[in-house]
Amino acid sequence: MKRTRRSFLLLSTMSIVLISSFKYISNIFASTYTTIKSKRTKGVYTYDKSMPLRKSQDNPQIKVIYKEYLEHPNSHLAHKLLHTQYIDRSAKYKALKEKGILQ
Amino acid sequence: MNVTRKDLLKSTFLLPLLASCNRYSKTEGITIKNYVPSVDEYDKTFYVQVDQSRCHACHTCTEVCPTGIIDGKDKKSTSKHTVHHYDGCVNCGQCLINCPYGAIQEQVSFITDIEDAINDKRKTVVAMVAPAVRYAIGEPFGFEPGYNAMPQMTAALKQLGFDIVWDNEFAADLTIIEEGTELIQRITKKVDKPLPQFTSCCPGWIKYVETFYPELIPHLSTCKSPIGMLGALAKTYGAKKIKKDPKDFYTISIMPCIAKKFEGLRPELNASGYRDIDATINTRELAYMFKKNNIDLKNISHENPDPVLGISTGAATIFGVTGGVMEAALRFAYEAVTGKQLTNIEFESVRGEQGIREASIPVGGLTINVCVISGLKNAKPVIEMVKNGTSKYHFIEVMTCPGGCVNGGGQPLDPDNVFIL
Repeated sequence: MKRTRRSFLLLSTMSIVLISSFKYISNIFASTYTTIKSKRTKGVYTYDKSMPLRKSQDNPQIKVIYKEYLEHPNSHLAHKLLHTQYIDRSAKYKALKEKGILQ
Repeated sequence: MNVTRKDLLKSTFLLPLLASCNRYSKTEGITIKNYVPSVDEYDKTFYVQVDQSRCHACHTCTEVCPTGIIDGKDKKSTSKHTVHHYDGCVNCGQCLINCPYGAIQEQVSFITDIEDAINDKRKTVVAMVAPAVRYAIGEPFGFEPGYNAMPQMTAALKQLGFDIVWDNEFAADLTIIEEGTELIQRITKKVDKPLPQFTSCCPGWIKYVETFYPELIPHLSTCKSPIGMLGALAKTYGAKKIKKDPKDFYTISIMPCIAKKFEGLRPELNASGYRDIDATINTRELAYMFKKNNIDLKNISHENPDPVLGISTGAATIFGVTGGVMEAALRFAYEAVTGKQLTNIEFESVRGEQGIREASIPVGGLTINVCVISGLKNAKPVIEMVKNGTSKYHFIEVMTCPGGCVNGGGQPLDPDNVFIL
């Protein structure tokens, strides 16, 4: 190939474009491997590491609320406020099965 | 079209420019249907539904649906999809965040109710923010996914007109104490309840058990989810501590989740004598409210949540990821059983991205066999084992959304998933 001024310009422009868009291209490759989900997960674990208190029983507010109000874990008041019962909804599933909507 | 060399060069220069714009800034993608069901109708309502005019029958939703209720009209592969019945839907919203055409939309929204409550001067408006929200609320404002924007969000909520910001992470710590104590009581046979114990934080999982496997209800921890606890405490202990009348409280739970709207309306959540949770919105809707009021999280001061119910630990913040509840419970159970200080805090064996993970953790003289399920579709084999009585586990954590709450149905949409953004 003959080296003209024109082909030199073309080659240099293309290489500049390639170099300047390298970050963009590598980002595309990187984002196919690191999903938004794993970025958020990483954020959570990084923040956990940076916390001064990392165990629930060390939370000073928890100690206060048990001392002042709830008395002890699974106490009568704790059961009233913090525990619940569940509802059997299986009759609705049976109805859906009979209609053929769900297997 | 005839592409000249000039066009080609122009487009090569433009592409990097386009790419430098933030990809996450347009991800609320919310559709407000201002409809709030009454407490009697909370289980007779669609929380998500397909907009037939935008559905391309691509089957992405069918693949991610844990119950199979979202499907073609006559179950043919070419027909458009629809949620056939509200009873078979666990309201997880995985179909919504995975739909490439933005065709699946929420049907229940409290936004107008919340705006009315903020404008009502007599009401004390309380925000209760879930752990996973803070790691994604920054995305629509140009922060990287995973950036903890809690200080900015607290300031923004105050600017929006909220009187008090309480942290649901506090209630997550409380859940660990209550649920961990319950687990130890079950293992040492102090209470007459079956093993394994299932976690009860995830509203999608709870509705799934209630509908499809009611025989497992005794295995569920009797603890409410953290927001159920915080709602009840806000209107009793919290109101007493800040000397306000709980009658005027308007509690808003801010969640990464659509199923929490269902949970917030459950009739049994009235332990405080009032409705424990008055309204529920998710991360997308909160980002929408901020933008509507011209609040930019990038240009705002930092604030901490209000005291009384606002201090949290690392064990609470990991509630937002799969395996987090398990790890936090183990950090508590170890010290509660042995009485010794736990030195190696990180339980790497329960972390990860696989659908089913199991581990055996020595705790004093006991060995606790645990199992972590990420994604409700993976729960079936484990449930069958528990039903047959062949499971060796003591404690099983189930999160409906793959990856846990950070990937919940109420989080900002992933621009990689959606074509329309």
